[in-house]
Amino acid sequence: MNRAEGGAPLRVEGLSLLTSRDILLDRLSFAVEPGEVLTLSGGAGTGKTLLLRALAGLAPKGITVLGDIQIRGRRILVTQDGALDPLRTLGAQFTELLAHQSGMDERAALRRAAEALERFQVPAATRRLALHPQELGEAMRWRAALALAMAAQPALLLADAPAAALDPTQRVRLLSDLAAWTREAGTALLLTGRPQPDPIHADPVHSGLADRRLILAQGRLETPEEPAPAPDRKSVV
Amino acid sequence: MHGPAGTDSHWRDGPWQKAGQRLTAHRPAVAGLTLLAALMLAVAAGLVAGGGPVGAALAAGHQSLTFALLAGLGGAALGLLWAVIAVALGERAERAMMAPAAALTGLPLALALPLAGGLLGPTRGLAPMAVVTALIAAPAVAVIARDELRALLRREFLSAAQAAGIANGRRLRRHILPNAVLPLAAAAWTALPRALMAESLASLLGLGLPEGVSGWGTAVGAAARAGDTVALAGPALLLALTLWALHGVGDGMRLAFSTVSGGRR
Repeated sequence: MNRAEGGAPLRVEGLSLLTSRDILLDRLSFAVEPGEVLTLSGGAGTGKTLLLRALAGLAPKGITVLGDIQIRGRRILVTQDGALDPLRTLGAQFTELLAHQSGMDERAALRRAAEALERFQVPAATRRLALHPQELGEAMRWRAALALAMAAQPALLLADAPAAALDPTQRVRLLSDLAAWTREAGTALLLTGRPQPDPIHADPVHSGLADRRLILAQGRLETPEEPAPAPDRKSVV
Repeated sequence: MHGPAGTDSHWRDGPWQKAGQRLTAHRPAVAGLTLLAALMLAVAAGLVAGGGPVGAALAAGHQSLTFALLAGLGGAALGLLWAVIAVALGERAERAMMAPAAALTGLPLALALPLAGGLLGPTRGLAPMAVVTALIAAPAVAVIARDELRALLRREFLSAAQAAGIANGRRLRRHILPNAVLPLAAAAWTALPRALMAESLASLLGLGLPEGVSGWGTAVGAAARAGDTVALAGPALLLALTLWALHGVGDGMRLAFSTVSGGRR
């Protein structure tokens, strides 16, 4: 893996993940441009999480990574459970990440954190920084986790089935807010989704959630045949 | 949704308070803690008041509980160290170190204490017996602690921190150690009932605590040999209650704190 100096925040060329006995992912090639939202869907066990972890530099032991992964700029992974430490307050987690990623002091980090939470429509953002993750509801916890990731101003955000446990209405709203923010910030967003019913899996392009969609099946990427445009975009969601 | 930091609701809903609430939601754990506290007070009072079969049983409890606590703490420390070193050294070393621990856990190790007592002879000291008891308790603690550590290291917030480039030392200090405290405490607790059980069994056979030190097992054994059911009832009942209480608290801790069983998620 290397960090490219120009071009797309993520460019993957001929990426294969192998064990000693099996080919898990076979010669995947794709790129995500700045501000682009790319969804990656596929059935359970098709390797979506494995791919995201490999892109985040966390390929499991025993897995051989072949091919080229070029990443330009900062990369943040949001894992399936939201990836917040249950024992640390939101403020402490924002401070740690922003101090590490951007060299911010605590005060500046907390200010950025409050702005990020407000940007993600978390009410009373400053006061919530003193709370622990489990003191927030599920939807608010996801907003906090994604705000934490976006506060670090990544060039590439990898989100593994975010907020899968939320009800579909809340989830669509959350993902739409996230997509709007990443487009505005010029962050490349790679979202994975679980099998239907799932707004990522169902029809993210025509719902306006994603700019492009790829399907992972049997270790290979497929580009779906796009259906005719829906007469009313909102009704598709 | 809850209130802001510094308010009562924040105090009640913090992660440590939540862990306490999960523990106290388990009735046998609450009953066990209450019983253990009452036993401690009764044993202390018995030492002061003395006399009679009840006073003798409580005085014996002092010896048994002190020995079990010291040997149990030793076993817990040894087991935790065993697990931490195994996990820290990597998968191959972990397999090599944990295989004997798992094998030993399946053996009736409590029988090793009377065997050691017999081999050491009537002049055996307390310290060697405590060491053997600690060795008996350690493998089970090591197996449980290893499982807890492995489950914790698989938690996704640690993967996210690693992906974000947080350094290993910082992840250990800020994320792994604080989150490991309660699961490892639950693992360590299992050493206490094991130590008490092993000591009582050995003492019952006259091969446990050295002469001049009389625990519950010693008292039960002496009463059984003398055919004195009144003298037998007190220490036997107290021993049974203490073991039940220790197991009740241990079960509650595992349910409330364990990462493996999902108590902390």
